[in-house]
Amino acid sequence: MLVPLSWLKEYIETDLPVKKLADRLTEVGFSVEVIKKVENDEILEIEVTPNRPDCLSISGIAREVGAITGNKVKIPKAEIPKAKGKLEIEIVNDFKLCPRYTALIIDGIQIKPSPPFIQKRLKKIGLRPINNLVDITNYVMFETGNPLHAFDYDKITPKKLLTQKSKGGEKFESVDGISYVLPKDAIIIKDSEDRVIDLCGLKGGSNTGISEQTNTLFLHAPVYNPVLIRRASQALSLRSDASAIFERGANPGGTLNTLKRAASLILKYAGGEITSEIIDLKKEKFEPWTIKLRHPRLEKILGIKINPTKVKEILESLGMESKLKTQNSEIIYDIDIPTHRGDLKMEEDLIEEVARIYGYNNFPKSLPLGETPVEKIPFFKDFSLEEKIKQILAGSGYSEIYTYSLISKRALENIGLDLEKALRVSNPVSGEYEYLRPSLIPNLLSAFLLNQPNFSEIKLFEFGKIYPEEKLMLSGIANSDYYHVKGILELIFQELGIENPTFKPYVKRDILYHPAKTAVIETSRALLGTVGEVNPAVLTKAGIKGKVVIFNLDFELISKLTRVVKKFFPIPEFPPIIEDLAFVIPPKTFVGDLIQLIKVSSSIIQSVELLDVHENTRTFRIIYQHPDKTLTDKEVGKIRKKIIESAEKKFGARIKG
Amino acid sequence: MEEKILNLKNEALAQIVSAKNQDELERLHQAYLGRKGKLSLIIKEIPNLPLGKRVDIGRLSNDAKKAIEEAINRQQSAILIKPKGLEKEWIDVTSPGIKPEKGHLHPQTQVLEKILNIFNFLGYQVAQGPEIETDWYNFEILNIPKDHPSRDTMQTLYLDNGKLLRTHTSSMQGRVMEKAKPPFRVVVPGKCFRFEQVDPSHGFEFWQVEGFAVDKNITLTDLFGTISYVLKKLFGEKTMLKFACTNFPFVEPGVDTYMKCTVCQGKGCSFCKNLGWSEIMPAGMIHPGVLEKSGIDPQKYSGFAFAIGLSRIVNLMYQMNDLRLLTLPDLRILNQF
Repeated sequence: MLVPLSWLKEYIETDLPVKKLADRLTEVGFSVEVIKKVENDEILEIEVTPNRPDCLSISGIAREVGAITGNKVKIPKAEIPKAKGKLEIEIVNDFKLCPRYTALIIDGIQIKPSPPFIQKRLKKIGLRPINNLVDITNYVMFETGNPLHAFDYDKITPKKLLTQKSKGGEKFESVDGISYVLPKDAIIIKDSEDRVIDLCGLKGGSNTGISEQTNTLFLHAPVYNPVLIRRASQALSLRSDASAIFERGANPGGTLNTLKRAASLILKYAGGEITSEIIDLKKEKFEPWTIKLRHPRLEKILGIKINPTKVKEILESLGMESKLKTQNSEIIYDIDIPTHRGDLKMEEDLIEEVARIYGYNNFPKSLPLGETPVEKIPFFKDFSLEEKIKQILAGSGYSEIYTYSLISKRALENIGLDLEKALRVSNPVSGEYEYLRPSLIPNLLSAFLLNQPNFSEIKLFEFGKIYPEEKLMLSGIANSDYYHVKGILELIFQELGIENPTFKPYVKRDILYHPAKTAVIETSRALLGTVGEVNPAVLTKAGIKGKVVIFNLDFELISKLTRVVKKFFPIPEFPPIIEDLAFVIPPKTFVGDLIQLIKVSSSIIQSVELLDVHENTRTFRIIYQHPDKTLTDKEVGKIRKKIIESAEKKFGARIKG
Repeated sequence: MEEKILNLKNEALAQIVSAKNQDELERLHQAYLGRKGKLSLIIKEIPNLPLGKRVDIGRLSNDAKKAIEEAINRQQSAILIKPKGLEKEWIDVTSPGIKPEKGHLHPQTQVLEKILNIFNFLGYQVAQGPEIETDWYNFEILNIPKDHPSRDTMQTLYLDNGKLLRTHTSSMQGRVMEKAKPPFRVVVPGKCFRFEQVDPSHGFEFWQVEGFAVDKNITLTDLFGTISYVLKKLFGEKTMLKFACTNFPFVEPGVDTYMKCTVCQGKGCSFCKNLGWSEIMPAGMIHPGVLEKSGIDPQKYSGFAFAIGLSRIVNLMYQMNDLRLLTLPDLRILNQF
């Protein structure tokens, strides 16, 4: 909403410097975004929230300035002469569509340019002057906040109008010559020849529009059903200054004054005389309503002590009369709400009115009292595990990224993900961001590619959701070798107390992973994820050079398996026996399985470590330790024999030396 | 025998004093006091001596042993204090160190952790909930029925399955409140989505931290106090804040929080739309209708709610002038944090 200061000051006096005025307006809820200097004037660009259609007008803003300054607002009240002669029109109104319909007829007008002061003001608020009639209806709408429309009376045949809902599919040509096919349920006005003469709130019809030749005027100031206006506006992607007011709720108590004000300006600047009684169709009175405000409730919600006289004063500055009474020793205000404040419906709304004019920045500050809730809330989330793993990864050289959840179709296809299973946005911002990612890998590949020109070592990870199940995943990418990546994952599992995850060859064939250099990570209970080299074909397609290892972990599962409670074991009392065993193994023997076999050979084997790899020889360091006694060579010898025999039997591994 | 011991001691002391380094001392220790050292062999013989001599020889050899040990210790200290030979082992201490390889946590993670710690201190619990949301939790329960004009300010991305991507973390108010009883002190960090034209201060994906407190006596001053405490803890005690009234259908009274823009120090820049102030924390007292729909009696309980624009706060924290930098996975950016 553009508000020229000179126009505003016609309705309200203020000595506040414009910057200060802007700050105060912002504080009371009308955020001033820009102050523009034009000639000798200043124009405030004000953001009006959807609940305040009354402030889509200069007088509405003037009332707010009145509340800020305590000065009286002077809104022009127009009186018009009695009707001379009598021109007929019959209105058949549907009150569900149009709760109030106010109109009159003016005969003998002359179309010409509007007076300079109106033209100037319209230009300042970004409107193009057209002629005296159009300009006056626009001017009065911006002055009072109630939209009007003028029809050429002579073109309405016969003189009977009906407000109704469109059936859908009707053709309509607007006054600016554009053809529309109407959606269903738009509010329209038809004449009795079934011609649509008005697409209400959005555009007038060309069939009854004002032209140079217009002599007689049918002028209306209606109030329409906001929802229907909004739906029609959206269906046609059509907005107007009037529709913005109607869809938020035009002031049903303001139509009469608006109509009179416009009529008086028309008589003054276009001539003519009133030739009908004022038509005012309504089923309700549209008078101020009363809301009860309890003073203790006001103080309880605001958290301050405030004098009832101050409350009354604030309400008065907003144009609200209030009666004070005491009921059960509570002070209560009965407040009359003016019809332009349709947003005020309940006690809390008035509490806000008092608070905002009191000034939010005048409030003291406090912290909530009372007990601190300790019972776990629904959807409780513990971030500590995530933070711990992030620290381990960062400590191991990995940097964290956050990427978009929305990705392109191409990104999905490039790594062989099923389009059918991915959830699609029906109205994407662009094709680049059309699908909810079912994997973090596409974005990690793009991130890798982005860094490739600048860095030789790239290690990245992301914690993020995959969709549609919204599962939290931990994935990473690095141009280091498989064993380094695996080592970090093992470290993480160890830190989380996840026991014995095994890395098994990945047998499922998909296009993302290298078929012979990928492992699935399992525990006895669940599949935790995968780690492996990216298939060179995928890398080539993505433009990535060299070898790249990725990992993809189901973090939700991992956090369930995590044992964060640590348990102390005493330092062993009896010395261990440490021995190195070297085996010659057949090609492609999985050393992980061999280690496992050694481990389970005896309960006194504390650890088995791969010490050395040389051609076909694998050397293991085995630590034997008994909790209750010192081991003898004889005891260890027995176990050793068992290890050697089963290694030979199961893997064809021969002991060396 | 006595003479042999004395000679041995003197010989040892002479050699020890002229020893030049640790290795030499170690060797001498072995030679005299080691398992097969000269003095040790004598001591081993003591039990075989005639009874009358044992005591004297024993004392003498013990003295010798002590003297040699002390001499070795002394010489050791001397060598360490005046490390003559070590001078050859010069290194250039000014040459750069070798750093262990280290990655970087995303600035958003770092800021979120700070925020959650502050709220944790204030007794808040963390919750996390769905991004794929229903119209009910994202709009209806928050007093935003279909055809409400304020839906224009939250243009929504809809999904082919009929659900939508939440436009704010406020969707979690209803979800948490309907399943438990007050008092509540909750923060909900998470990703939000809007159909939005991308510019330096807007994105179609961004993070918020929703927070709300509901109890018997929660007031507007509590809201001002909480916002002020949190932002000053986060940005420093000199942080400049101002509050303004605003309208969101799910709060009444509604509050907007402005912080002096840290990108331009209040001079006006593209990030703060040239206002010098950045809007970072919309808030308000929870609307009675929202409490009611969540099964809470608004006459008995009151509450406040706020939403921190996390992405925006990260930008303001590090004077980054564009939200999009946070989703740009460029190590030249990440390595700065």
